[in-house]
Amino acid sequence: MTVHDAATAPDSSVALTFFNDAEARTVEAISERIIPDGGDGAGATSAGVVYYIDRSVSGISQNLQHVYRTGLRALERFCQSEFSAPYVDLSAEQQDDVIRRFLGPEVVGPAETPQMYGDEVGERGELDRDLPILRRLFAVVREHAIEGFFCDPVYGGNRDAVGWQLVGFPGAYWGYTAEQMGPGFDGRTLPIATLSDLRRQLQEKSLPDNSTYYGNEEK
Amino acid sequence: MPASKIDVIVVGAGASGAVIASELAQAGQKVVLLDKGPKHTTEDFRLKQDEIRYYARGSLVPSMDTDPITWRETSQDGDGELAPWAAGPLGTANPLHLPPSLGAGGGTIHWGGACWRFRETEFRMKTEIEERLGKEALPEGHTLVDWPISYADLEPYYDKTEWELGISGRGSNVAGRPELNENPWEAPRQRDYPMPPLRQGTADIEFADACTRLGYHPFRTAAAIASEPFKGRSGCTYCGFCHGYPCHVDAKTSTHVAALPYGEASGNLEMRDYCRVYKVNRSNDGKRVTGVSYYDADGRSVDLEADRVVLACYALENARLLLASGINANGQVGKHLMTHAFGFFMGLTKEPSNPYMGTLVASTSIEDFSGELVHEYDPTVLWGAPIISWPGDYQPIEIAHAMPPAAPRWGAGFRDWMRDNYGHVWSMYSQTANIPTNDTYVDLDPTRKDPWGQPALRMTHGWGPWDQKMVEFLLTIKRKIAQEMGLTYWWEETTKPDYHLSTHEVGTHRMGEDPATSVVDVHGRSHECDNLYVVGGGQFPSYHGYNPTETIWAMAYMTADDILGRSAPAPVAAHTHDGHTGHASAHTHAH
Repeated sequence: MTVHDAATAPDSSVALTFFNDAEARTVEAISERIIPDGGDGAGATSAGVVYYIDRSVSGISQNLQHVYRTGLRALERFCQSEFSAPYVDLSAEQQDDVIRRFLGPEVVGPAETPQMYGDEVGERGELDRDLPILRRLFAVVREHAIEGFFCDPVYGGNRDAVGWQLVGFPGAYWGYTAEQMGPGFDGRTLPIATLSDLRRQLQEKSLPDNSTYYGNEEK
Repeated sequence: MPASKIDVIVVGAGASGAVIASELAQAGQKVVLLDKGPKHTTEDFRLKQDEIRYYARGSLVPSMDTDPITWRETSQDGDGELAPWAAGPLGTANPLHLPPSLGAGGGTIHWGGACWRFRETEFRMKTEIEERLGKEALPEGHTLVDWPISYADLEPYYDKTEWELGISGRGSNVAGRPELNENPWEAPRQRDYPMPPLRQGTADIEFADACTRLGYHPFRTAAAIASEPFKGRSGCTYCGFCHGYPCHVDAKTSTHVAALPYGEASGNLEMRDYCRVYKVNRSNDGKRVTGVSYYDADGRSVDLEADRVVLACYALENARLLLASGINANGQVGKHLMTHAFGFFMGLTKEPSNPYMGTLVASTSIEDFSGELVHEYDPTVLWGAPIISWPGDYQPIEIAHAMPPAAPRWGAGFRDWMRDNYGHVWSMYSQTANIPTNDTYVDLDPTRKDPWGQPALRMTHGWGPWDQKMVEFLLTIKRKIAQEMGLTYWWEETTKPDYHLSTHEVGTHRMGEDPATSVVDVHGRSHECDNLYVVGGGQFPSYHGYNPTETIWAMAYMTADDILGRSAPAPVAAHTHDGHTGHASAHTHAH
């Protein structure tokens, strides 16, 4: 790594602040099934979603530490009992099946409640006690995965802005011009900018003048 | 300001509090303005293009941990639970369904800036319904009343609001301007807005065209956002982080930049932030207030005395403070709670809508089905509302939360839905209020306390069948518009939403002329305590299809005039669009 690259080092860091290595691999595997790479390089793993989650849980979301720690332990118990293997070693189909059990199916009709594992069983002993924490875990991971996929890269996820590129969101902008807001303009042609880009412009005092944007053709 | 005698304590530095405090200070009153949140400056918000900080983590809004609110649907439903819609899987909430932001500016920091005058008939909604649909049309147990003031009483104050604070738009019923006529139902106005409308989002043009083809009467939504430089503030840059976000260029009319600096420049206004008022103190006979008690940033209790107290901390907290202070002799405090159901309607446009650009209020509305106009189409619908296009200001996480029920919630289908559709999202909404009844109110939670040991507020609020009917009727019109626009797909919010907080709560300290049936008079002055004012949307006797803030501002100027013994602003001679530049020079202080 050159000295120059050091400025961007945090974005490629694989260091952890809360999870242990096994926990991180499990969270990464779940996240990847929630937002899988479609062959275009944009999925939860390439976005570094697990690093967003890891930093959130060691920081602002400390209240969720127990959900991850005890939930991931319960998930391993379940996977050992059901598949005799840890979650990360299951096939993609098996991993999806586990998610369906605890998060519900991918598509839920407007008036339906997701049918989840536990709605139909009551005699599974120890595993039943894990049901509430497993449901909570998967609901939390889903929410965190979405945040980590679409957050500004400063938060550790959305690395190389793969989430924003996928959906065509240009990111952090000072504003948009009349031409850009006009009919027929495809915003996917706009370059992606991040909070880091904006702060650099602020520091260098190289911001465009606001009149670049508020020029109003309707005057 | 020296620690000498205080004329007025204003509690809450939001929409009405900052305006009243600044008006009084400029007139020479010594004012202390207290707020439990921070004293924001624009520098705090320069890099606000951050969906995690402001949306996902709601850094501006109160949390249910510090400011708990409990809810039950009816008074028969037990003691109430912590507002269930206000906590997602992470224990955080969509800021739209919590009380407004804390600190200087209050809700006007994060609001979308939708600005409306109420139409003339709104002020006599009860009479209009009874005369048109019969006395039996209103539900049993309703507590609806007409306003004690008319549109004409408020017009000078609406005008003052628009020109003092900076509202952009295009009037339709302007004295001496017959060429302005887009909205046939606009109430008369003495002059146009001081600034032209904001630039529309691209899909908004499709909405306006579709409405025209359907025979409706589209017009540009007014906005508390500068469309060009105004009083030293920048014009809007259309950055697309607006609703739920602070403004980084002061284009949005947030009272911490549009009002507070003028009060502070007078030298008579001291704002103390992180001060949490917990009690209004009274004289021994209970007829006057003597001041307030608050907890400062270090948790110390402080007693502050003044000649007058103005409570301006939102309809909910105003009611909670009155109840916690025992100021409720006639039992009216907290009654008549009203809030909005939005009837959200989202769809996908054929051409890219680029929904991350612009503001949600850079839009078009129709009033063809507002208020009593709806009776011509369906006399079983009690009251109508405008349908408003919402063309921009959507970030990806917000849309991931608003996907259609039939879309996959996870997996390749979720990812592909976002990939294919995010750039084509567009929406419209309306705002219909629940009819107030004996069973829509707030009171003190019987058991739950906040971390300072103060009683939490409890809401009792449900959506009646009559409320749902209003939402449903407007959804039928929205479907027609969607079809006419050629949307490729659309989905709708339910007519009975699971939220009961919309940052639009009103009615909880009703104004009226009869001290037995209302809490404050037409100027916001308490019937019970002579020198206490309780202001804001809580004063509203009935509620309408409009965002409340412009009316709250107009009433705030009215309250300031009453305190100062001033008469209403005199009519202003016709102005042109550059009329405001005449007094811009007086306000060039740095923020």
